[in-house]
Amino acid sequence: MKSRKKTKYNLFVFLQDMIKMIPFHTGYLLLVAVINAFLPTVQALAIAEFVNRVEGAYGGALGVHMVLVPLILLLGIVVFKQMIPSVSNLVNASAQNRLKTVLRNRFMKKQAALQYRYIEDSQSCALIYRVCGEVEGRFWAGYQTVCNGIELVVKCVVLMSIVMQASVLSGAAILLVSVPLFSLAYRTGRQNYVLQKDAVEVKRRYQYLSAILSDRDHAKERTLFGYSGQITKEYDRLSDYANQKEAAIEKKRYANMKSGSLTMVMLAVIIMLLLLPALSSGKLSNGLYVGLVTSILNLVQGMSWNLSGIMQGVADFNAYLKDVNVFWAMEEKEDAAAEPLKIPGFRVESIEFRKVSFRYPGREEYVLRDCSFVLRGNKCYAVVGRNGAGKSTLTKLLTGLYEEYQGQILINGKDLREYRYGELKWMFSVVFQDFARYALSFRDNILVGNVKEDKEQLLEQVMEKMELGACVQELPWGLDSKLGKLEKDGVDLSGGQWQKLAIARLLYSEAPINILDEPTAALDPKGEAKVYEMFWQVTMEGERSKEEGISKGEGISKEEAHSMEKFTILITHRLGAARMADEILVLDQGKIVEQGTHKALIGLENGLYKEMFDSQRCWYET
Amino acid sequence: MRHKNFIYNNLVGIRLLYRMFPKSIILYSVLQMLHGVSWVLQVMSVQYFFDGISENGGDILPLVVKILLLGAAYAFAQTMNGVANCYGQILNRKVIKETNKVLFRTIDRKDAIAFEYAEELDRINKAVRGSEGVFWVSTTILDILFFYAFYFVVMSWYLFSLAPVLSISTVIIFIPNVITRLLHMISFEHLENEAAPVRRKMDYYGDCVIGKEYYKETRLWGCGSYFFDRYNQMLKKLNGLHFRMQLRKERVNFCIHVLTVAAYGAIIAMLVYYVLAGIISVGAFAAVFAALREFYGFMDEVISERLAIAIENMAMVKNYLAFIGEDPGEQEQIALPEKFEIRLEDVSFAYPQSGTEGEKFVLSDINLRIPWGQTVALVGENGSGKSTLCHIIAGLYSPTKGTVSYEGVQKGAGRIVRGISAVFQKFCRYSMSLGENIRISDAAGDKSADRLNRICDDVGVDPGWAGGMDGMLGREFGGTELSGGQWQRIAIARGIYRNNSLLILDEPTAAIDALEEKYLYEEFGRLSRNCTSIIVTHRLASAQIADRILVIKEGRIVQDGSHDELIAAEGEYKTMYELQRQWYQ
Repeated sequence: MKSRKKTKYNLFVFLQDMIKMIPFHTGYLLLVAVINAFLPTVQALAIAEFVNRVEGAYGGALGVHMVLVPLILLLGIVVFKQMIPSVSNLVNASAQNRLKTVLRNRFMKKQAALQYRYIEDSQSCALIYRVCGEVEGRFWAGYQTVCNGIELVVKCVVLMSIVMQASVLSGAAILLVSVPLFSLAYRTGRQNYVLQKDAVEVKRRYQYLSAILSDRDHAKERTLFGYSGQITKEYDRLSDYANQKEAAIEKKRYANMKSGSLTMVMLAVIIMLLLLPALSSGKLSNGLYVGLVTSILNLVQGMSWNLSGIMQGVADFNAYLKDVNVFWAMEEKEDAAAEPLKIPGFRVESIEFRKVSFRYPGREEYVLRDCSFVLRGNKCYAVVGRNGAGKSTLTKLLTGLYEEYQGQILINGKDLREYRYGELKWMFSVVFQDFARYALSFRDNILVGNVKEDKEQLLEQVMEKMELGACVQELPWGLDSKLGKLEKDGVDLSGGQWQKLAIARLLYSEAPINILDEPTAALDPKGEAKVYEMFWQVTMEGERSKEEGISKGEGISKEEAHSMEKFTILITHRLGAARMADEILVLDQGKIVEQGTHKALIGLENGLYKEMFDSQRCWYET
Repeated sequence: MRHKNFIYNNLVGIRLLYRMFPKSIILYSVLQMLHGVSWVLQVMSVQYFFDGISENGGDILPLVVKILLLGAAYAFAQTMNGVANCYGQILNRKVIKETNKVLFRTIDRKDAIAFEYAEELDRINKAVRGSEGVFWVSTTILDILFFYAFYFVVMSWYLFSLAPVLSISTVIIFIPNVITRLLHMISFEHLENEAAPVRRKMDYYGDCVIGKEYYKETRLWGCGSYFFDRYNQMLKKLNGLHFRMQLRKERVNFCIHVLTVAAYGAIIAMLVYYVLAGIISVGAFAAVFAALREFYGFMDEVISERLAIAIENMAMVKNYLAFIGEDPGEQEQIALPEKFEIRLEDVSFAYPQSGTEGEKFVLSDINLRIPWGQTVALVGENGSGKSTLCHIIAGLYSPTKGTVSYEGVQKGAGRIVRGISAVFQKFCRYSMSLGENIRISDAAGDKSADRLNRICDDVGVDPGWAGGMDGMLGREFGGTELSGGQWQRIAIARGIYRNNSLLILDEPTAAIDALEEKYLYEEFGRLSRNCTSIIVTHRLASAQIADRILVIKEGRIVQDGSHDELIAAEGEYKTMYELQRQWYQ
């Protein structure tokens, strides 16, 4: 595993790897390839023997016993050719199974450990998809192509060596002729691969129009705006253009392929002609000549398809290995797969951004620019701002999803980068706007919030607080009902119920810092108000019972009091919800432009918060 | 039964192709026929040559001629193979273009509701895929007739001419192949069905670790290994199923191949017998033996590949043919008068659903009159039926019960071509230029730059986003990718660009922040002075720009009146309004 991170895949490394993973299967395939390579020659010899014996016995008494040996050989070839595919298919299935287990695990682990930036980058995603989708199939196909290549080469060499034996001179002449012809065939095969790649680009545009004209996403606008006629005209024009281009490519491709075949036919004819003197002088028996010609002609038939198939396979696979190398070279996040790691006795005292600047990889503009602010423990904060002001970026930086920022982020005065990733995971729990709706049971969906401990009591408390009891009772199997469509008996929750579940998950985790990142964007105002009300109530309650518990000195230990303490950051563009926070931060153009209580901010003349708040409030003034 | 259908549909497909490209289809058949002939010529030339060797007395020249003849036959076969296949590929593209155009026209004439109906959608999707396969599937019969059958018939005749009994080898070789096919069709479907849910689960658990949807959260909660374990469990199970399936398949295959070998053996035995008996020449033996491989290969190809693939894809093509057969024909084009009143009478609506108990009405008993020029706001909770009502008013959905009419013109008579425009909640983002993105709503209309620029200006679309009106948008073709708010504004501009007397705005500001939202609502207020407009909104306060507010709850209109009227009455609207207002106190 470790060495793989350093070594790059090339054909050699790949073969080594394959042999290590599936020694039996690779061996088998190679063996079959080699046997297959010898078959045409064996067949040629068998036919030669047969013809010679028949001819030798013309006029004389001819019995089956005389031709028994070549006949058995010929039949043997038929048996081998017919029976082996069944065995090969089984080996195939078994090899792919084994490869699947090894490779998928290996590739998925890498994928799960990547820096998060790759996941949000569509180009990297496309590459990852290309590399990891059906990886076992790609590897196996790569190996098959190699074996096919070996088979083809050995086939030609063996056959040639028989020819050489018959007549060294003509053999040498044949070699001389065949090298340039062969290389011509090879080159055209390669060219075809390039041509085919070009054709794909041309297609994409009219295929897009075809989607507009027929898919569901565009159905309403298509019907309402009635643009089908116009777009169809455009489709017609574009596909005519593309078809013309593709027809040209297709013609060239076939011309290439078939000129390769014709070359091979020519080669076969030349071989036959060159062997004629040997035949007439008797050096070469009639039988062997016929046998050789039969085999050579058979080879010619398959050659053009085989050769261009192998060429394409090799080129495809090389491109694939290149992608694989790019994938393996992608940076990993340290401890990416770590479980949350508790820091004993940790209390949030402060979170500080010190001149933090950040832009997404590959982007010009900065999302955060010299952004500085301090959040103190024991308070609830809200971050507001226009769309695209960088609010959600704060979450991504805090939770270590992106690390390529300038400046410093400090938690309790210690640089975020100095915490272990597991510790950060423990420290934060987040409800994202697009929070995960796992197709697990209701219970497991909440337990995900704290994978290390299973605290039935806490689960009950959380459920009660989020008023999920009634919802669970309605489900067919209560807490153990499967959610989502993965199982046949899975049930789906409404948007509001999922929302509550997501917050319950967050409450169930013992993270000292909670972030709610626009968690209610998908709810209507009524549902939204309800969720916020509930959430504030829960956090306030935590505060209160902590105070009570400590002051009364009973029931609650200090440790438990800590776990209830929830330092909260709410990110929203709905100002009404933000005002309930102890302090509000206003983010604009990558900076915090205002920070303070609702009252303080509303008092700021020309303040952005006031402006936004007023613009929403004025609707409600009568 | 199945095969009868197959042939019938195939013929329907060919008729369709023939109507589109009569000359090309005939040419294609001729090429395939020549292709078939060319392969037989090869065999004959080989025999001719081999016989020449046996009879040769040391004279090289006649052999050279025969070799050249043989070379010519092979070259001819290779050329024909290339020409016929290449022509097929090119023709295929042309055909796809035409079949697609027919498909698009049919889709265009269908009601938009078809896309909301799982089964119908599935059918449309199959028809779309079927359109691509019409050529290959339909020409299977042509290929079989003109290429394979021709080859087999001529070969049989050739074999017959050598020795009459030999021609039965065609049949002998044919039988095991057919049996294999039949067995494959019957016996493996259930195993595939067993594997499908396991595969789905495996893919899902994999997605939980590495899918974009779950990636960050699975990482942050640290629950990756949990899903990994489940993934591996499923993988193991799937592998087991897979191997078992293959094992069963191969067991059948093995038996079949024993048959094939026997058949092969029988033919060779016959050949040998004839050679030994002096009935056929040893050259013919070698030639036939060499050709047997091809012979068998073609048989395998036609049955295991061509026919199998054609049968597999036939369902899709059948779907396509049935789908375009349903073409409702040219619809009457209705241009609504410039000013019209909208009237809904006893309108109820249920999404078409099959298999579930009873119909679930999203809207029930809606009676509504919207006089010309009114601005109406629709408010209510998520899922209350607001968007559906919009779609009905826009004429996209036909009501399940009741009628919708515009100044007396009843919806259902034809397609409304002018007068209604809308901005939907899920608006489209076209990977086209900025200008095209807006003009698409009135694609046939005048293309004056003035109108476009004015509208852009009104709703705050800045051509600079894409580097001008001709700048491409969307990553698909390397254009600029805009933010959600920018796309939303383009969608609004698109809605307005259409020549309309009724403008429907379904939550048009969901992706726009508070400051700009207010500005846009003021703009809507101004725009709606010249037309009837319907606005769906969550922000109750913004409903105040409307003349009239409809509160929808569980598919019914529960309140109807102006803002002042509704605020004065106890009810849903007041409760909701107060709830929102208290946030801004």
